[in-house]
Amino acid sequence: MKKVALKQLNDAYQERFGFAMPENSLLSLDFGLSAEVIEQISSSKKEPSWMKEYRLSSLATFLKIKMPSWGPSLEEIDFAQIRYFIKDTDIEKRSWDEVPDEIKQTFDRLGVPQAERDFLSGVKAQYNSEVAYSSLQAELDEQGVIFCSMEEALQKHSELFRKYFATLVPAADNKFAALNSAAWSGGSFVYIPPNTHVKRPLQSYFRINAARMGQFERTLIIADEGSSAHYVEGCTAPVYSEYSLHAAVVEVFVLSKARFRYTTIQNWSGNIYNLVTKRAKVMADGVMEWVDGNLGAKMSMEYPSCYLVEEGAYGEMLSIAYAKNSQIQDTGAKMLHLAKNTSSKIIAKSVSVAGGASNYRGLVYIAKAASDCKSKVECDALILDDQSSTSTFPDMKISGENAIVEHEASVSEIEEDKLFYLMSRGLDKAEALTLLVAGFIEPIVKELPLEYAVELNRLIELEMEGSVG
Amino acid sequence: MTQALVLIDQLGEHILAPTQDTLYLVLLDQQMRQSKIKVDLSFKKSGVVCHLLFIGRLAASSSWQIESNMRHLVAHTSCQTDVYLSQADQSRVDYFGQIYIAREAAATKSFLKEQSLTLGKSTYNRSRPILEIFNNKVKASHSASSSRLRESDLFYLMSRGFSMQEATKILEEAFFNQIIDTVKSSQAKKIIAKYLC
Amino acid sequence: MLKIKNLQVKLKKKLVLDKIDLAVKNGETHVLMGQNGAGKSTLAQSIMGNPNYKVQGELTFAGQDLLQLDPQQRSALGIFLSFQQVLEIPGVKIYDYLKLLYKKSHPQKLTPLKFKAFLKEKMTLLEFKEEFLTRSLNHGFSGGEKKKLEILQMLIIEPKLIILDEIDSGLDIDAIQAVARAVNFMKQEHNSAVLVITHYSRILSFLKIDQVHLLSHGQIIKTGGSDLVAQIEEQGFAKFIKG
Repeated sequence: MKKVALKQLNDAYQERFGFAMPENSLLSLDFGLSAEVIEQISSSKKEPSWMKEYRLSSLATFLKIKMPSWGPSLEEIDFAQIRYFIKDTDIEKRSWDEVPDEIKQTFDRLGVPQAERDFLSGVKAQYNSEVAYSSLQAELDEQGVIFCSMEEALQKHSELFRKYFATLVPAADNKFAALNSAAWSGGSFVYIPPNTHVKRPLQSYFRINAARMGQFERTLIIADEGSSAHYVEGCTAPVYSEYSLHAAVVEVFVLSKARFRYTTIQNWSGNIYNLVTKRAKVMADGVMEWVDGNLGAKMSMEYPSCYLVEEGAYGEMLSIAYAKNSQIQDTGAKMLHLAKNTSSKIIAKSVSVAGGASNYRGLVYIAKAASDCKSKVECDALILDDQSSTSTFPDMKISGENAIVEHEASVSEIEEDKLFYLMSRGLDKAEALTLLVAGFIEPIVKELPLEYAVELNRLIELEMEGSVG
Repeated sequence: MTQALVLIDQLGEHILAPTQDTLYLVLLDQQMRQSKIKVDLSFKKSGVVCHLLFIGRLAASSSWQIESNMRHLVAHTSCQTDVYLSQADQSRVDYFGQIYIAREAAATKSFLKEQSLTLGKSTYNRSRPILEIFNNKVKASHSASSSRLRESDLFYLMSRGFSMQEATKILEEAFFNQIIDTVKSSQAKKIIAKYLC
Repeated sequence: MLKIKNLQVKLKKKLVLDKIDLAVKNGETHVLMGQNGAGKSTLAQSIMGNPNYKVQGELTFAGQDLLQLDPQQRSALGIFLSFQQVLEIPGVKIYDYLKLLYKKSHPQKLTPLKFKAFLKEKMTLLEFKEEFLTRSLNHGFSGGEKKKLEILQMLIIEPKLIILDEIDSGLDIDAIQAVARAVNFMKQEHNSAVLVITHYSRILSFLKIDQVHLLSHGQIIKTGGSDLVAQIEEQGFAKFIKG
């Protein structure tokens, strides 16, 4: 009964939005990763043999590479205990009672509609989204923009797919990229034709796909010459997931004179390891902007990077990290200047409270041939109490001639006299804190799409109330 | 407290624990081809205020590894770390600077400023200024910047009659003068002036 | 004497000035007027030898081909430019700097006492107080003070050709008069040639003007006597630029 309903939904999805959930309802897979599991994943998706071979060789690479020798400890990840492919039917097992209280409270405060709550918390597997999205699809079709699932792209746009896939993040890049390369499932494929400007943000459907975000999502984006677009993914509402490990890979190609912005807001529940490899290759006079909000997860490690490979390329990264209750937000950016006259900018703001640790890890590299490059990095950290911490680990390697590189980082706390001033004007402590923290992160928040900005501010309000008293 | 002056002119590691206000002056040998120097300050006594100053006119083709570590382990200590380097042709610098503030070290003030002036071609500059902060009631920051002499500054001075070499020298002196102005000890100022001649 | 014939100036492949003809004799004062973006500063910077500009045509001073000379050599010939954007060079002490400037531009040395007297005379002309000599070059100065400091440098160097690029912007009336005094002093004592670049006319009322050139979109479209200034004032640039 359920399977039929699911298939109907899938078809309806396909028709209305152009992409569907991977068909997996007939599979039942065990824990652990092996060549058999990989072969099953590949066949269930009806993939061409080159992809299957690629997955298998990535598996071999994964087994060979060591865990990263730097950064917070990932000892607790047990690869044998992870389920690499979950049936939709499994998700329905949860009842509303099993959803953690903390998550329910946040839904209340953020005013999340009940239907969405069910979906986000894993109580329901289905969601009927708004009509708004179908009009977006029509616009995109008219412009020749491709926005579909990776699985569909592999079938329908195989030449384009194969030209770019894994050329920026090869399996051997790091252990989690290798894992993703072997077991990837889901994710978006975006192609923007030359000189095409997509005005509305391409959203991986705000709340819907958030919960549907597979643990090994793979995203591939190509912005052809002179084009521009904005891709948004994620959700400020907390998302409960079965999976304990999210190892995603995002590859973005910004061709000559194109402009692309990729915004991610992540608020995974506190049992998840969020380890993401995000990389953009920027050609002549191209512009790439990464905007990141890391709010959730047990541990999040992501360092979006830009390879500035031709003259005039520009890379930017704006990020907010919020760490509480023994969360570790270990984030940053990497800017590699590989051609002359390239420039980059990194602005990272973090807040640590109630025992959270928020770290910045960044790299600015200017190659010998890359003359006349500029780079500016600003990291500001706010620590709200004596249980929390923050660390900054920047690395600047400059070989190119005439480089101008600047880096600044500072740590501050909420000043007592500012709190006193606001409270003397009638605000209670939580309200005053909210105002001050919101002011601190405002330069980044103003770059987020409105609905995220609004939710983020409400979330901060909630957090401040929680931390006072 | 009056400020003591400690001149560090030996290479290698210097592991120190200041007990009074001190200016640690490290002048990097201008003749050296390859060198390593590390200064480690552990603040275990409350109320101490220190200034650690590295000044280096790095010779052509020289290769330097410079490290500074500030460990604030008790409350109410302050430190200003300044690293001012100029780099001639083919010189290489690898700077690692750490500020660590322990959970117990409330009311710490610790700042690091690293500035590199590239004067020649084919130079290499690596900088890793690190902050590890475990207490919220502190003020800490670091900044690192690397740049060449500005062409507009060179043009301005040349248009007033200075040759390229003279203009370069004036601007290099100006670069170092900025840090000398922050040094209060006249004895230290003299030592630095002599080093820069 | 400054001779410019058929001058063409490009900035990064973009043509900024074209077909410029201009001649300024010793003792003469010429004015170059034009709207913002006309290319006035570009001409000033090109005469001084700013390496960012690509210059073609004839540019000579005192019979020497300037295009073969770098900025220092042009300065040695006696050319001085007061910059529109005055750069700050913190860490360079003004007194030391001015002493060096004098040494560079004068073959005969002065004793420290004589130099101090010389300096004091020039500072009085511009109403500068002595205490500012200990400050850093242009650092922490207001826009107007920076401009006056440029003119003080001019008085120390004693150049043969003085180019003033928007000297009067940011100056109050007292400062403008002080600058005019200094320029007139140079004309009187050294028969210096002066090229005043401006889009205002405030300082012009304090100088004796020989010729006025109107620059528009990179070319000189009109040349006239000092009365041209008043005409432009009354009718505005647009009237002259049309057509």
